[in-house]
Amino acid sequence: MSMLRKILDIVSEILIEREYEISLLIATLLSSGHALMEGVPGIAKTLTAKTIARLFDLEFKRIQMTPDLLPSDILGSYVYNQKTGEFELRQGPIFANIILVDEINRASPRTQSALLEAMQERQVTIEGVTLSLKQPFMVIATQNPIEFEGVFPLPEAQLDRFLVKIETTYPSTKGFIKIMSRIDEIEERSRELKPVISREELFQHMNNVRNVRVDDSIYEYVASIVEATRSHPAVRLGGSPRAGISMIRLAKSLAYIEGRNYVIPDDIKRIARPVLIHRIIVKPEYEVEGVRPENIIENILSKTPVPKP
Amino acid sequence: MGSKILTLILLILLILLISTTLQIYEKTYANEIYDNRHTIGFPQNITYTINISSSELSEIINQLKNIDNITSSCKNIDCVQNISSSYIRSVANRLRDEGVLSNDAYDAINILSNSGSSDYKDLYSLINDPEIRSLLSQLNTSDIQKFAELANSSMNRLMEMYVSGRISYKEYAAALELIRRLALEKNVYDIYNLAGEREMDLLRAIIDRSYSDALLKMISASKDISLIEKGSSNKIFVSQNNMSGSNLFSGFEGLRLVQIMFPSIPLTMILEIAVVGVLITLIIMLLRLGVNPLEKISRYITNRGVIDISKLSNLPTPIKIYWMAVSILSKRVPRYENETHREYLKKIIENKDPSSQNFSKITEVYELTKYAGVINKDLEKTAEESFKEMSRR
Repeated sequence: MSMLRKILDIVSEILIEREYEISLLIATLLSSGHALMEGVPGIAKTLTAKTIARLFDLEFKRIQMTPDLLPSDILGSYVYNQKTGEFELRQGPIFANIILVDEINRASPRTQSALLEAMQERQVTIEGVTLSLKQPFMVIATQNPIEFEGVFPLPEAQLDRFLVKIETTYPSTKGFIKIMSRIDEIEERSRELKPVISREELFQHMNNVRNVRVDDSIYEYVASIVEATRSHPAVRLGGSPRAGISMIRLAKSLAYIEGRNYVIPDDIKRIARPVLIHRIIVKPEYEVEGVRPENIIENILSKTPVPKP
Repeated sequence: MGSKILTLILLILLILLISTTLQIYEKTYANEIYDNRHTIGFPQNITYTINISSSELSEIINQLKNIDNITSSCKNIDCVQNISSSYIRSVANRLRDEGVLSNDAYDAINILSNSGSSDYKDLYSLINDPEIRSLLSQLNTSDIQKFAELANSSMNRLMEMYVSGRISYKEYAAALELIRRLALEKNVYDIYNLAGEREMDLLRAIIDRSYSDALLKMISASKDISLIEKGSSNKIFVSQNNMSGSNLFSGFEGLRLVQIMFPSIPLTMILEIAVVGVLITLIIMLLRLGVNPLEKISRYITNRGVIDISKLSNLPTPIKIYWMAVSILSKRVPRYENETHREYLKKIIENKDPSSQNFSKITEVYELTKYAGVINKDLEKTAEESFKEMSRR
């Protein structure tokens, strides 16, 4: 039984119609990446992140971003201990394995920057002392796509640090009815959820992912897709080399959790949208015509030849 | 950019198609005969310009107008017979010659307007219905006391038969005239007057119907009918080329022909419009969905997803076999450049291709060889056997 199947069987009873999000989050975790979840409030973004943390026996922390939140509120600070007469480090919530950063775009740019730097470096410096963060370390940030007031949109350079952007949508009517009718049972199951993969097993899986085979033609395929995002007439800013690296990493993880030790072009097609969507900036004249990054990705995928022979 | 140019080309083609269709419509149908039906949903405010002699038209219109005045002013058929029987007959002759009055209606008018000229026998011979003949025989032999009662019931029965269409104008007119004459002979004046009134009603009905038929047939018979849109006008009127805009029916409100003078749109034209509409909708929908129909067609023709097998000489056998299988299957199910091996296999299975099972094995081996880097004899053998099996089918 593949790793994903095992997890999906458990979470499908708690997270209704969230298989796609779960598979992407697990793939992101295995790729040592971070995920940005975009969706309106009330669609189980927090529950999804919590569930992932519990399934892997990982430490989970949640940070609710507000405009007055300071970098030290996230990273931690040295506090004077009157008993010992010394300064002691009080660690911030960033010292956990999975961190849910709710409404990341509500924090001030200074706080955002501190968080994103920690995400990239996987270490923090507090008053000149550099401290490594826990391993594995994954940030699941959420943002509401319909808010424009009192928010600080993430700059493109910082968006690039997220491996994937997962667009969370409402469940179907059938799923919605299922959630409403079984909410008590769902909450109870969520509370009683036990880890199915230990921390050690997770490290083993992460190590195995690195050994997933990628044929040279797959690298060429990814390169042609990423380059096409740059040369597309409707694009102002296309995918960076980091985008290509992210695609390969995520494709390897996705192949692994599906029980394969090699990447196929289908994996690339599946992960192209979540990896590239937040890295593409559409030209204003095309944006007003209704062109969206997802349209451009679809267009590129429909034109880029798959590896041959 | 390419999509925009294509959209522009398609729009130009559509405009050309629509304009050509309209021109064909104008040339083919605008000169043809129109019937008297109005197609629901199409404009009613259209002016006809007809090419017939103005004096001829005026004469017929005036004659019809005169008869309408006569029938409106007379209560009893005696009035018509005494005053203008010859005039009515001459108009009836004219209308019959124009083909707008049926022989039945013509005979009925002659009976109604021609008092005393036909004897009993002649009138009786015009009636074919056995029930009426029986009723008339009974009336003829009945005594005065019973006559009135029997004549009343007979006239009611005649009315029923006429309304239901069981008897013709001619039979109805002849029967009424016979009853009227019998009533006069037997000095039953109530019945005489009642029968005269019924005859008058019948004459009016025939004249009214003749108006409509006559005018519509005259319009239909005209050789050059052109359509002129008159957006601001709420009326429909007939005019001559040299009298454009003048309403010949003004002051002749009793005609009430407006309701039935609208043009019908031929069925073929409606079908053409429907086809063009469906095509436009389809193309707009495809473009909105981001599907470029011309690109799809060109890709289908060129079938670029297939590889040149001669270039595969240095590759592992399963890969060569896969592309050979694709070259065969792509003739039935086209393969596109952007399709992965799994997507193409899915398409083959969805198409219920007879080779789908063997091709599935070939694809599986191809995937393992190409992307997992597995090369062994067993896989080669599986691919070869599946390909042979596929070729036999």
